[in-house]
Amino acid sequence: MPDKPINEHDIQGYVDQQLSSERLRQVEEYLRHNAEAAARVAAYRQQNNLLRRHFEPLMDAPIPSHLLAAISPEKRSKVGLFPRSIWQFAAGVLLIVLSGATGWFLRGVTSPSVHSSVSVVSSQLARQAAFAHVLYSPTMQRPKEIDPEEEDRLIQWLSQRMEIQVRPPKMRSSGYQLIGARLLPGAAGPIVQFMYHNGEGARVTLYACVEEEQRIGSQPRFAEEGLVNVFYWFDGGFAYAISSGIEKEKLQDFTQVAYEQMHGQKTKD
Amino acid sequence: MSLEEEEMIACIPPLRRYARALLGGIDAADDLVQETLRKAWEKRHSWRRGSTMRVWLFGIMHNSFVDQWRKAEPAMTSWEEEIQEPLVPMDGTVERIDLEAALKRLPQDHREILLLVALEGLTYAETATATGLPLGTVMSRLSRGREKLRKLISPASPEDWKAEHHAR
Repeated sequence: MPDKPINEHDIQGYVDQQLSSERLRQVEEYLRHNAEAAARVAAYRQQNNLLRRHFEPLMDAPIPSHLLAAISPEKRSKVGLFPRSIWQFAAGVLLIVLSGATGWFLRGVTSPSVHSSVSVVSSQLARQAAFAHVLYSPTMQRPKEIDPEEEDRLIQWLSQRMEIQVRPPKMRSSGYQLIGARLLPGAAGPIVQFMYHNGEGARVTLYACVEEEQRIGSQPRFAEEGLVNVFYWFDGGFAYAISSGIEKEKLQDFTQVAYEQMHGQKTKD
Repeated sequence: MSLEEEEMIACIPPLRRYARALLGGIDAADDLVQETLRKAWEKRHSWRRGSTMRVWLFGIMHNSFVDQWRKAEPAMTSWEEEIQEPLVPMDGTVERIDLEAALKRLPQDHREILLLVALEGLTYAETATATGLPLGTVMSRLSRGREKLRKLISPASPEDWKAEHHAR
């Protein structure tokens, strides 16, 4: 039973994993008997890896504000959403990145000249959280949901760094899945940011940090920071903020569910 | 923030990466990205929800590239190609491969296709959609681009290189 002969399209398809599993088997068989083609395939795969490794740093780099400004320019005239200081803030970030098969790993931290003097005061908390939301949303390119085992390891690791038990709320019943977490430097200690996304690609981040002075109420308060909506509150020595581009009512629903899980009681409103 | 805004912002890092690899300098790359985003924002209503925004944006970037940036780079004539030295030192150490110099030596048509597939991971069909080219053209440019890049970054002895070039 003669199969269609292996052609150049198949060779390329093998390199890029764009073949049906049946054709893949046929190409593999062919490559076993064709050293020259096998050498080409190996070389092309090496090229893919070289290219991706070489240009990887751009995927994590903060986005220059003039590029963000090209999107919905009429709204961008709101002052102060992307001050220059946020890029300095971003320079010293520890990233916890979820990769596909190998689980999470730590990316490098860059310059120590970060302005960690981001003091957390009532409206500044909302602003800080909104910045962190916009800054890091884009780096989750093809978010992979964290499985329960990975989530446990991640929580343990974070809890060690934060020196308290960290427990991100489970938001599945609201349609949201946890897709990653970051540790950011803050004046009073590390800040943790959890990122969720739903089936439609909407992203919500939960931002939590140590706040010794109780300057905010324990009931979530709303703030609109440019294009990002934020609910923020203070409880038990920590300040929290939930940020997203989704509309206020939907974010309020999310916040109520999260708040109840985190504090064991409903919000009063 | 609308869904379009959020999706577009999420696509900025791969757009920057692709533009950087295509043009070879971050400022020129970010100019191309900015132009792409500006045009995309103007025609955001023509993006169909459910289709991949990334592919749509790469299509707009391709058109911008063809319109404005491609003219800046002179096409290499075949005799120039022949007399160039290979880019890898003769001991073949992988760490010293100048990937970006090698990319610059690819014809722009081949470089574009190679990067969309090898760097950005677009499928062949997505690449054809983004560039408006027939699938056959995509495949032949990909194949030739890869083979040319392979020759540029493979370690070779001076004898191999001379033999290959004199054999024509």
